[in-house]
Amino acid sequence: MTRKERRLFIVIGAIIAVYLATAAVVGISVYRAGMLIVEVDSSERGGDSCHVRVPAALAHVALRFVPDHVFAEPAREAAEWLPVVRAACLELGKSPDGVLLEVRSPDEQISVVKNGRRLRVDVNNAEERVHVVMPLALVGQVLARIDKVTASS
Amino acid sequence: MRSSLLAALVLAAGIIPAAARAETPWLHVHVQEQGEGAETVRVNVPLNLVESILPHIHSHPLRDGMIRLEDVDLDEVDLRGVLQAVRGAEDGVFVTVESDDEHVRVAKQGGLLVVEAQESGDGEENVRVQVRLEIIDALLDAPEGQLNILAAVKALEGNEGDIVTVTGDDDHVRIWVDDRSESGGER
Repeated sequence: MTRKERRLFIVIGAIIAVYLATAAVVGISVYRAGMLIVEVDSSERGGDSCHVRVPAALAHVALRFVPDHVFAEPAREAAEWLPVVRAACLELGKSPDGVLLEVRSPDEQISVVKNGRRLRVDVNNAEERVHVVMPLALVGQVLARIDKVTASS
Repeated sequence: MRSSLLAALVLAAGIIPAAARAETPWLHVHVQEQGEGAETVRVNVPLNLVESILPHIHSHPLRDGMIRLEDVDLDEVDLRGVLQAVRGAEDGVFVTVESDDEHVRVAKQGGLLVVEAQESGDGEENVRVQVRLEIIDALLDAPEGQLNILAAVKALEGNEGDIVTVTGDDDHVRIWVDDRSESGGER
């Protein structure tokens, strides 16, 4: 192998290594950010079903393109409770995993579980089944966006 | 070498979960209804979480982690005065009410304020509230006319055990603090 060929191989190897490292970092980031899952299934005959499964990393990016006015109304309505939600999110992230709320009755089952950096909400009743998995970081980002909208208005 | 490594792992497996448990006390509420259509509610919240959100709640009658007694309907009872009186009193039974269908006892014993109420007849119910005196001290650490709920929650950290138990014909309620994240250990 000539010196020129060896240099070419090193350059190609370096490009592949950078590409793989970037892919690995992106993959790890997406994995760490988790999935945003929203599933709503109506139990009624012919009822609607809605299933959304989005990598939270993608939701983070998508959030940047949501116009400010979408956040303005919730910001006004929930202004009093936003600091509470913010503090809860921050503390939940540090808290051990566990079942935070469980309601069982013949008609309805509700559970709210903190699992890792995610909050899982399940509601089952005669009308519908709801399953939501929400990464806490995503809630934090929504709150940060609401803060930004509130500050600029 | 292998046995000492195994021993170290066993030790670590014992110590690490124990340390993790010890640093986070949980407040549990368990409501179990009886009869047809009965509902069971379990709430398990890390005390740290309660501590962190309480100062941010500014909703009647709670503000900055303190409750304003003038905004609470207490039937003219000076709750703060009662707690102060209990705190300063010697151990003993303060109140005993005996009637055909009701038995009430309020006592201070072994560092605890204990309130017991037993109702008989229709809707029979037994209520027991026990509060450590440190928690009463924490509640009283507030300006006149207020109780410091935030300080009381902080004081709960070192006081594992039952706070309220209600046993009735229709339901069973238990509020307690322990170091487990789930309310599996029903008593």
